[in-house]
Amino acid sequence: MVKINLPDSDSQKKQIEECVEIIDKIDKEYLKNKNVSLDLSELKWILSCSALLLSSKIVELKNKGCKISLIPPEDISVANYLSSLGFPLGGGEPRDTFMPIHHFFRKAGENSTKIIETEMEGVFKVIEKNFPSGLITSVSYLIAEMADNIDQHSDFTQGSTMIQFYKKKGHVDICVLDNGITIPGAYEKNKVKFEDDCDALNKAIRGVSTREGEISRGKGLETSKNLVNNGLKGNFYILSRRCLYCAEYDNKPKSKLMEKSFKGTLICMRFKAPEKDLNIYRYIE
Amino acid sequence: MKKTIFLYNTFGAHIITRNSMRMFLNLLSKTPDKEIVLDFKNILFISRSCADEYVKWRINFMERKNIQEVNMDEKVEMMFKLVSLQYKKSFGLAA
Repeated sequence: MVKINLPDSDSQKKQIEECVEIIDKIDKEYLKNKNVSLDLSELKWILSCSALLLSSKIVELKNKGCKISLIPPEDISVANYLSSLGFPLGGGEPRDTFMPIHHFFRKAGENSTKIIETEMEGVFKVIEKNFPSGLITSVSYLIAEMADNIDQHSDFTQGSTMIQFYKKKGHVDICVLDNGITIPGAYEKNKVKFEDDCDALNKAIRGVSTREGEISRGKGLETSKNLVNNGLKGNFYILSRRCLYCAEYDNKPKSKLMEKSFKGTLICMRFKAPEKDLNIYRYIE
Repeated sequence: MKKTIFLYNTFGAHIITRNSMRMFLNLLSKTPDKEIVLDFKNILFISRSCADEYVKWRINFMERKNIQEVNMDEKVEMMFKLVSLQYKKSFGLAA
């Protein structure tokens, strides 16, 4: 039995760190028993990034034939929130400004571009139909950059997305996850040298492309981070293999080398919706 | 004679991944037509990566083909301008 307790905090950093520990426990339980029991009964608070990470792991194991039993949260508000996100398996219909957890899959060797284009077409339709006009350009830019990164570099077999605009709170959560070769793994594959996984993520953020000699490439993370931090005054996080990179508004970016390795890349962002349409181009030059 | 290509028919309203643009440009490179009109009508969004791929291709093909872009949405045009500016800054090229 794996007990799922997350820090009672709005800190995405703290929740992501704890999720990596929990996912490691889940993997160990699966290897030991082939069945996994998850106890969420004492869960008091969960952020969407954590829900996406856990949902992705549950779906991955389920697809391997693992039987998963779940004890739901006793706290009704947590249970309702998870349900609204489409937890545990994802796949709920988009509604209003809510794109619940959605997983998509690619067989090894299958071309990823068509899969990603189809997924993103659905996401873009919801954004353009339901999101406030002031958010459309920014959110579209961020989603497209993350999607293209997954297509170009990840070699994923499972990807996950979740986008929410919370009207009352006025903020936006975007989380994109893949189970691919990770950012440090992509550098290794392309023989780009780095000291450790955090150095690799810092290089990615500085725009060091895996395609040597192509100066115009590798700008997706760098420009997205700039747009979120400086344009939208929000927070930007990347978890990839053993590094958690945190760029929070008004703080110097930090990266932490984790004890446990994460098999994939999670990018999540949280920012306030701008009052009027933001000129994103000054932040992505 | 000019050949007109409606991008919406290939991409839908959103041009997102670099690979999809690359596949399209590969086909475009092979067409024997020298005068090509790319019609952006109903294209609502182009990603920076796709604009980058297009601008790079256009620089290489500008002497071989006469390409004209029409009906560009303001935001799509902004993305092209931004990428072209980046090329000019980096390489001094007229994109």
